[in-house]
Amino acid sequence: MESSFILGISTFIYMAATFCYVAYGVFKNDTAAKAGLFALIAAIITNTAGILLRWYETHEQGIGYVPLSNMYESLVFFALCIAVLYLFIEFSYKLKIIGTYIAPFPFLTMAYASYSSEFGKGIKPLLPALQSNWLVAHVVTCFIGYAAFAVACGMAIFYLYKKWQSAGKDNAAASGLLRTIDDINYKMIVFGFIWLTAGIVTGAIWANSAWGTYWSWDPKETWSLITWFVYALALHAKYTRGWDGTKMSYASLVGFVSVIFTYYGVNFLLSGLHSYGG
Amino acid sequence: PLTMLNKNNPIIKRLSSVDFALFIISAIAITSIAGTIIQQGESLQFYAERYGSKPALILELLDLTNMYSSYWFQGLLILFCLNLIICTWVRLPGVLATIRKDNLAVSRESIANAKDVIVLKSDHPFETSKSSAIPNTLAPLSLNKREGTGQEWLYLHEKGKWSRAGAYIVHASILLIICGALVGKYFGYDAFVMVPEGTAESSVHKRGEWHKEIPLNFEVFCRNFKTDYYPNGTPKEYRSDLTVFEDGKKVLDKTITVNDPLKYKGVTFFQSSYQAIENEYKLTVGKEEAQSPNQQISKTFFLNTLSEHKSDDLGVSFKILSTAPDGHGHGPYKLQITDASSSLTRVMNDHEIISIQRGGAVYTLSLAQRHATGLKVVKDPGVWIVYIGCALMMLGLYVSFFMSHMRIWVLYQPDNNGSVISVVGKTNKNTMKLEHLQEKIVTALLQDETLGLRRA
Ligand code: HEM
Repeated sequence: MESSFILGISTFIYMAATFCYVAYGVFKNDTAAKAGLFALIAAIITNTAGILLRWYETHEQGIGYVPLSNMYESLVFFALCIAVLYLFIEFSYKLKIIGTYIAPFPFLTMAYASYSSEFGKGIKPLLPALQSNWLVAHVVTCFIGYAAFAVACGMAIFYLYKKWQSAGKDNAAASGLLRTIDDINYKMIVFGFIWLTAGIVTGAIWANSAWGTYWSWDPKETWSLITWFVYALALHAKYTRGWDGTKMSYASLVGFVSVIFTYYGVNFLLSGLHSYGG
Repeated sequence: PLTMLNKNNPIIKRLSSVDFALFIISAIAITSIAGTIIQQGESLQFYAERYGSKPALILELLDLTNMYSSYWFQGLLILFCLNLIICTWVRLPGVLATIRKDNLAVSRESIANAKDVIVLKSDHPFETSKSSAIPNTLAPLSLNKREGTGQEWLYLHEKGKWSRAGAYIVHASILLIICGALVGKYFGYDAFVMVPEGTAESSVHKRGEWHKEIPLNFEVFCRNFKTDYYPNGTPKEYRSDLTVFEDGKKVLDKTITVNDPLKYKGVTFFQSSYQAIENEYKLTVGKEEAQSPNQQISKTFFLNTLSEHKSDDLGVSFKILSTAPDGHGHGPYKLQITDASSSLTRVMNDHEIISIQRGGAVYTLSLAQRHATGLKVVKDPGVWIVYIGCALMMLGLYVSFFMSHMRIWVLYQPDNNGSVISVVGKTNKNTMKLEHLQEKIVTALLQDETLGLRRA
């Protein structure tokens, strides 16, 4: 069996999980949420197996690299990070409704990775500059951060929807839920911020070991800094201006748009030095 | 002018405010976008072709074609630093005072009347001897301070005071990273040198100012350059075998690849590019005498197609008679080898190793294009400052986000004929953890039968 086949299967299991969680969101049927959780765990296992198999395949082909080196591989890892992060949240908050807003993220990511024609999915040998452990550290840290921002974005959408839905009503249950969503949004921003910082630092160390400059203002670097600034702004506005859940939700959305631009836009909309993508 | 440096000066106030920080960070983030959309560092002609000549002039005028090193962008960065420095200067004393504050020195009323106070009452009378019994009950929760009289005892659990410094560690680390970058910029250089195989260079060319030569005070000699390919033709590795000579003496050998540079005396040499040297070839010859097979001599010669090369060590001379018929200067080569007795001609491909037996000796020969290796030469004495700043930033973020300054006060007082214990907690973040700890303290107190407490 090939890794791309297994990863394709995990896409379908993520789809099933999304379907169940959305069903739960609409019908509030507990069985649907349980099935969703079950499917999500199955998808995580398949996703992990796919990555490990791909790793093995690179060795079989005599190239031997950690499969985090191109757009396809990083998307697959991104999906896994989101799903695992969500699992932690569901277990610590015991709130299944969150899954309705998070489960689509790994599914859409995997679907995009599997069906997009913008980048190759094959195992290709690495150019010399990409053969570095710092690159592996860089990709892992960045994508854990991005995954946290994706979860935060899901929470922001949930928050704004719930706020709009319960507007005008004086509903204690809704306001309790809103507070929890805001809390998760904030915690995910903080968590992502730390990992993004680590990602920028490891990226700088990698650049310095490969090219002798830790910072050269190339579009990818600059966009990661812009993203970092967006979240730093949100955090400071929260501490010092007391930004509420609504404002933090908008900040989270803007931040995630910036993440997507850093990740996707720079590769496919701007021309940069980064040998990534394609 | 020193009166300017007053914390109430309106300019200082403005510069120290977080609102100004929000403004300046937004400004840096938004303007940075321009530099990612407009290609940086191209010629005016390039922009004129792409955007038209008038827009190109405007871009040039606004320095948008080199914006990250422009005066206005650096001005924004300076304002950002100023903001950070002044903000720290204004706020740090307050934070240090909070850290140093003796939290036992609070008024007893403020504890007993606090908003979220948990009150436990008992019919047992107040006894001074309980002053040590209570912390013993709570031993694992470390009520690390106490103070009292015959009328009351106050206990304090305090942890993570220094976590209040977390934000300042992060801010200081940002300044440190910027300092490191400036040290690199003013005391280091970014240069380039092309070293042909078989030659040494003792100076390098500064980037952007190619005529400017920077002496190295030592020599970098390139023994060999090689490219390895994957079976599909993708480059796998660029490799240069370098030797450093100082005062004519060999100091060290190092093979560099793209992610593994040579470092010597604060200067780092990165594998950056390479170039074929037109009409020059590298010949590697090994000679082994039949009588003494352990004594191998190995030599490298650089030849062109115009002249014959004579080696006195080997007693042989070599001449390339022709290269591939397409005239692009690669193999198959026709090589003429002449020794004392006669001469012979061999056809060989690039990198092909051939052996020839002549007069009691075996020669192994290999011929290839001669290359020059392109080395990026960097001296950056500030990079360690930047790295320390990065480490400090990670530490500061950890401290700011995962640690908190927690205080729980336990006040033991008489209450008519009985006694009362008030428990109050405060934290600057992570209220969940505080509540959890508070609940643990209350449960432990309630379980102590000698105190005989109940929730009020
Ligand atoms: C993008 C750069 C910046 C980063 C990454 C950053 C990071 C942080 C962090 C991690 C915190 C801690 C939050 C907490 O206590 O939980 C913080 C707090 C704070 N920051 Fe920044 N900061 C930046 C720029 C600035 C600037 C330019 C100012 C200038 C006014 C500023 C003012 C503050 C203040 C006043 C606090 C609260 C400090 C306190 O708790 O005593 N920050 N910052």
